[in-house]
Amino acid sequence: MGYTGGMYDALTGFLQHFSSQFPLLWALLVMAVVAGTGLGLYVFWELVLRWAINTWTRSRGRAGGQG
Amino acid sequence: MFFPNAGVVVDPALLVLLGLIVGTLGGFFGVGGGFLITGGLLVFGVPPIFAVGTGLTLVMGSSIINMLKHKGLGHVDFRLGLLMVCGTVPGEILAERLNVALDEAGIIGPVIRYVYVIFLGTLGSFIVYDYLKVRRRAGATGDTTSTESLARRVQSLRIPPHSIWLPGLGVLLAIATRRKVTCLNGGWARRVSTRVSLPLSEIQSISVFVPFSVGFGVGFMAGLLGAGGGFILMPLLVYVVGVPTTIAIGTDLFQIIITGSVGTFIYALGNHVDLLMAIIMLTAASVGSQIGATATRFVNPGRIRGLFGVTVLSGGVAVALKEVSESVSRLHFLDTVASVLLLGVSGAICLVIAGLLLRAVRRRPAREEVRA
Repeated sequence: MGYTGGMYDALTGFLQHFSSQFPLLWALLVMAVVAGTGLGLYVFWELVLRWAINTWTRSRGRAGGQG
Repeated sequence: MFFPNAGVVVDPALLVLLGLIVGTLGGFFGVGGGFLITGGLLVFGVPPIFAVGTGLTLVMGSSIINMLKHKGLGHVDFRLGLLMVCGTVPGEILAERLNVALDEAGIIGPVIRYVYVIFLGTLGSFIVYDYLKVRRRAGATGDTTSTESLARRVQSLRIPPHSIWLPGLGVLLAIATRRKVTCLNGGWARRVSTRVSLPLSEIQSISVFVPFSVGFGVGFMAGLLGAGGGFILMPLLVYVVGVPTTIAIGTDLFQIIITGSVGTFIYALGNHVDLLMAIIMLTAASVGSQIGATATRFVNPGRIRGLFGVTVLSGGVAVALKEVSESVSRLHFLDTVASVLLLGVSGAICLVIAGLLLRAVRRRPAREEVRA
């Protein structure tokens, strides 16, 4: 299986148990986790891109000023 | 890596690759990519029911990211999206009934595949034909299509009733304007026109029954084919309703979030979603989304439609190959060929998108890039 360890095993156990024992809560959890992850990833990449564009523009401006 | 819900071992690198492709295509074309994800997961050995369920979960997640990205670029017409959603839900319910009837008759599999082949083949051929025709026309640049007169006719359609009584609107308006609700000042119900203006979609006036019908048709086809419906909605909005390509892409994604969420909930309730697999693919899809959605700002809308046509056509060929493999037992290997073909073409299109974006960014002056 490749991936073993305390945390991974605990996560596997939780996913298997929760999804089979509480279907409605599981469905809501899936939607909440996916929507939350989507939002989080969007914000993360927006910040990264903004930082990258600013850094690049500044470095280009500096290079232009020297030339 | 072992995925506990689906009970299978899949290489995470393959999931990352699939997520990247789906995110890029989703951001660029405004589709959920359900048919691509399901096909890919089946090739990776995921059980079919989990492939569909996990696919719909990824469709939901990546559509949220793509829609937010397009919203930031000013490409989402929420008014148009909400009008279409009113038709989508009844369309999906009707399709579900038809699916049950087809299932009882024992012909659901071939019917869906034939509809898919005819639909994707016709749609893909038309889009490619339109792209080539418009490109050949002298001076045709930007967002020109060969169906502009049809779109104008659809926008000017006068469908009765021309106005309706909306119960509760009088009270809402009174609350909004902080007036006392009485029978004399309009009271409980208000008469409103059924024609609306959609400035973002560059539509001065259109009957609300047009987006409602489009939503109903897309919901019906999506429910029948078990897809998000993005590959139907985007061309319908562009060629029939006359919405600019980039706005159609963004608004389409808003609609897919709704259909994807309903599908995710239903499949998760039946414990047919692998959350871990979905999250891995979603993380990769978020990178692809940035590339795809940003590319729509730089690439000519006509070219976006042309590439979309090629993707849809390859989807049609893939489904046709699957149908042949189901019908002829000796040609069972065609099933894998179909999925590999679909993934190969989609991967190649992603490379083209990345290339077009890089070329466009290099040609633009630095100040415009910052504004973008």
